[in-house]
Amino acid sequence: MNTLKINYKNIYYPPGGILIWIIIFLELITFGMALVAFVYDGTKNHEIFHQSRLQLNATLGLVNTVFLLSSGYFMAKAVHEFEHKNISKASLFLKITALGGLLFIVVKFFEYSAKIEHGLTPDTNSFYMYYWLLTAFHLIHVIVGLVIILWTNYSMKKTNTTTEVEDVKTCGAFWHMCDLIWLLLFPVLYLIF
Amino acid sequence: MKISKEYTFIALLTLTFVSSIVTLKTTEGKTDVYFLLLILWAVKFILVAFEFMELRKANVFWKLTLGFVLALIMTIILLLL
Repeated sequence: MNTLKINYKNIYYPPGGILIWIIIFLELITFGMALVAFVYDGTKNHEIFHQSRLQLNATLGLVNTVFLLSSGYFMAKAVHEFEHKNISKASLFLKITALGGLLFIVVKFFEYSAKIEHGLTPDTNSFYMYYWLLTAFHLIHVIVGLVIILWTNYSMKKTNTTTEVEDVKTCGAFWHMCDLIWLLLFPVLYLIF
Repeated sequence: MKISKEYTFIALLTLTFVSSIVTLKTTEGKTDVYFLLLILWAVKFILVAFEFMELRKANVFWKLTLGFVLALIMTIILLLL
C-alpha cells in the first residue's frame, strides 16, 4: 500500500482528488438548479404542491436520512482505518457503509411502490415530476456509489493490493456526495410546502 | 480526530430529528420555520463536507467554493419562498 503523504493545502490536491471534487460541484449545481426550479414552480402552484407534499411519507424520508448519515459516518471511519493500515477494520466499516446504502434502497423501493400503487407517477402533476426526477436521479447515484464501495472493498482485500489511501478517499468522497445531495433534497421535497 | 467524527455524527442525528420534528409539528409562522429549517440543514451539509469529507484539510479555495455554492442555492430558495 502506497502511503505517500499528500499536501491537501495544495489547491490541486483536495482530499480524494481534484476530479472527484469537480464532479461533486457539478452534481451539486445540477441538483441545486433543479431544486430552485422546483421551489419556483411551487410558489406558482402552491395548492398542488402543498397537497402533493402531504402525500409524501416524511417519516420514510427521515429514516433514509438516518441510514445515509450513518453510512457516511462509517465511510469516514473506513477511510480513517485504511489510513492507519487496519485493512480488516476498514473492510468491515465499508461493508457497514454498503449495508446503509442497501437499506436506503429498500426503503426507497417501498416508498416508490406505494406511490405507484396510488397512481402517483411523474405524469400526475409537476410536483411529482420533480419528485420522481430528483429522487430517482439521486437513487442512481446511491447505486453507483454502492458498486464503487463493493469494488473498493474487494480490491483493498486482495494480497499485494495496489489500492491507495487516495483511492479509498475518492470512493468516500463519492459516497458523501450522495449524503450532501440528499441533505439538499430532503428538506425541500419532504418538509417545505 | 476520532472523537471529532463521533461528535459530528451525534450532532448530525440530533439536528436531523430536531429540525424534522419541529417542521412537521408547526402549523403557523411557516416562513420563519422554513428559514430555520434550511439553516439547520445547511449546518448539516457543512458538517458532512468538513468533517466526513475532510474538507477542513483542503485549500481555502475549496472551502470557499463549497460555501458559495451552498449559500447561493439556499439564498435563492429562501428568496423564492
